[in-house]
Amino acid sequence: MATSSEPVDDPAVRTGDTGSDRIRRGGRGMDTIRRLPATLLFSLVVLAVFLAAVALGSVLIPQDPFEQDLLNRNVPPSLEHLAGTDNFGRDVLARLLYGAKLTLMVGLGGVVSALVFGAVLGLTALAVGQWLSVPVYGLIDFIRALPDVLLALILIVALGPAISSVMIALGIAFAPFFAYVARAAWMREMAADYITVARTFGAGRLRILYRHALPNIIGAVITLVAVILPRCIVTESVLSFLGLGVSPDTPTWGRMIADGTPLFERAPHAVLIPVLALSTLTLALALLGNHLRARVDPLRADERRRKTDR
Amino acid sequence: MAPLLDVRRLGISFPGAAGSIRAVDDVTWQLEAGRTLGIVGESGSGKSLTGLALLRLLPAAAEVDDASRIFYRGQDLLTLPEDRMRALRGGALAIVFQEPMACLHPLLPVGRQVGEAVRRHAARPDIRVHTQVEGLFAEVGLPEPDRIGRRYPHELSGGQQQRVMLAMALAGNPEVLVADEPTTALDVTVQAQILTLLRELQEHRGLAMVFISHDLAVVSSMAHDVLVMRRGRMVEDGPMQQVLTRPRSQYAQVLIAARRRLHESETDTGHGDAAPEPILHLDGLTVDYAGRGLRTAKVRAVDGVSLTLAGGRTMGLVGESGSGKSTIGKAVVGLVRPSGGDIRLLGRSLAADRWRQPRAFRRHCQIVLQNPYGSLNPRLTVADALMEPFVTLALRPAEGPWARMVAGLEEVGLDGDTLSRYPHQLSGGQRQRVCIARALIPEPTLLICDEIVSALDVHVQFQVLDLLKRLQKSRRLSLLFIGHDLEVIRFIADDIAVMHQGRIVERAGTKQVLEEPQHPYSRSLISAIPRLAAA
Repeated sequence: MATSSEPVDDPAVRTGDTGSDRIRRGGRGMDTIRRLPATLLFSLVVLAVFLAAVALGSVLIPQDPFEQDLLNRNVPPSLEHLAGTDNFGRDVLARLLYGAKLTLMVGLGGVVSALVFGAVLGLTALAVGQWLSVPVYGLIDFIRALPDVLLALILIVALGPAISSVMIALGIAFAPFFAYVARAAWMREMAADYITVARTFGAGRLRILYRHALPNIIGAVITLVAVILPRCIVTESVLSFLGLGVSPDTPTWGRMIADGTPLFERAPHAVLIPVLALSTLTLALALLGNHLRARVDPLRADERRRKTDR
Repeated sequence: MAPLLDVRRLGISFPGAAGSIRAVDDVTWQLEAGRTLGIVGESGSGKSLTGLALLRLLPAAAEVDDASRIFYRGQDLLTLPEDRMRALRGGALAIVFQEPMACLHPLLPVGRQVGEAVRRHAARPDIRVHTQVEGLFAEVGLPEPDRIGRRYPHELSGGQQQRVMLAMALAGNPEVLVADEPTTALDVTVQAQILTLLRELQEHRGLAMVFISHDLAVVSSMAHDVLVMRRGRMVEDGPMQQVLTRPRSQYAQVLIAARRRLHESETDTGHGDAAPEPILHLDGLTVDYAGRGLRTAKVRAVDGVSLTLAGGRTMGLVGESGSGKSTIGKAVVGLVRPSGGDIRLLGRSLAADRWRQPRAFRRHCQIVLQNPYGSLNPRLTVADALMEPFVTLALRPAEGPWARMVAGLEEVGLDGDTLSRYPHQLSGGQRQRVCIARALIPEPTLLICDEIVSALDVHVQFQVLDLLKRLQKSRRLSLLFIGHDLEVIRFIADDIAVMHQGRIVERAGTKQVLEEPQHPYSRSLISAIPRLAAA
């Protein structure tokens, strides 16, 4: 139970825990790694493997991701084809590694543009005033009312098929999620006494936004990135499936899943392996998002430190 | 004869990954029928947990010691099977909590809610619930007991809501009533009424009562015996009179002395200056809050208030919740836009500037808000928080902002190390000191204090008020001190203005208002102040 009497019974206060302590404790090398929580370690390893695959994919795997071998279609995993082959006899592992780069690019690009269209635009409009926030959120409500795949389709047709237009289309389709989370957090912040105090010091609207409100909003937004990123990857696969994503030949994870699904009974590995890769990556990103949020949050950072100290 | 309630070696802890937290430690007391035991303590002292333990309503994470015993009429409540405990709960043992609005179901008429309690504890199934509820409403002094049952909680005032809660507690004909801060959320005059009601009920029904409160003065008017708790331990117990006059423990002495010192402070009127210049002058100030929707009528929060505050003086602005006293403070610092009248700050008319305070002018008037937990951003360090006024008001102190911040903290009794801390690492009193330091950084002429000590524990209240008084002397600050606690106002203010429904009904020197109030409303307000029973 919290005591509010003086002097406080708070270990952090009693030990005079200050910023310099924190830096000293940070340490370097193996010691630091051993002290990392298992979940964070897991997500870092997965992301490292993923990035290595993006960088070295074509070097490690001798097979050509595009080469068709019609005599060896739907072969289950073997020594020659570590992850088997698909319906056209193309090596699944080679395609998986080759597609990792595009998948990551499209996913990240989509999330970042959704964050910009949703959270950055929304918060700026809210801070500037009602005359801007009402029309901006009206537009966002309108976007939300359309099915996201349909909206993305229209946008890609309008922008012309290219990776950049897929990213922008995903960004606009997913922007409402960020906008709504940002608005809810903003409303909560505006009711806080410390915002009132900042106003009495003559702080301007934009200063209140980035200095006082943003540190309290950012956590919710980071968590949302981890949720929306995999959705972007999956939506891209739907677009590819409809022939409007990245060019139909080019392998992305979403496209591999979409292509393999009708033949699931004959070649389950062609679906399950990309699904496993996608869900492992998603999990790793979600866990990383969680840790990032705890890191930017002094309340939770303190809690965590106290736990590891004992 | 065995006592009605016999609590022996009660211990409650909260086991956690980071070690067990001991919330209540080795508490022992007895209660006879028809007597009242007061439990006094600050937040976190374990007083509420002690009350909840009687009804086995402790939070799930709490663990009661194996050695603890709570005997009610010879049976141990802690080992009783749950179904028999349920029959006692709300029956022979009843409880009333602090926030009546939070305890009543918002979507059910209050009559049905009390009726449910009546039905649950009825001895025979064929009773007439309706008449019973009416009888209870009459007993707790609700108006129109035959019709008020059809109303919803939000249609009742706070005092009426608490009366409904009492009716519900009485529905099961209790022998023991646990009252956990039953009047803390209420205004002073309403508090006095509820306390009188509780005393009457106890007399008529011969109730045994456990009265839990942070306010020693309230407890002293209610209890026969008292138990003082601190950090889960009993630091003092005994008959009320004895504890008040001859407290054995140092902590009880501090508590009582803090109250007394508030009471005994000298209120010197006149600083010797012939006619100090007015710092703040309100002239027929009117503030309206727009209703929601286009057609809803506006709410007039402040209605033509005129007031003058001279330099270096402290004006206490007193009133109950909703009287408009905080709105005046907000209007002066420019957080609320008045709809009429004028505010003259340092001789400058704010209405003439169309209520837009130029940035450079803002530094002359600062505000400290009630809740020190809400007014510091949880994600900014103290240094970040104190840095804000330098940036937004473009202050360039000669010695540099850092030295100025350290000096400011030392002025309010904190050391420079506090700068690197986050608010959650500070206690309530320390936070409020930081808020005061922050407000003083622009070196204001006028400081508005909006209920700044009401969220603090009693002995911390005194320290903060004392600090404020010293700062006022050393800096020749003018203070507009908004509050509802007249004891606090008596300690700090030179003059008092009493507000009621948006208007000032009385304005005079502190001593005069408190000793010879003229207006009938001030008289009822002042007679309602809870006082320590013994002189």
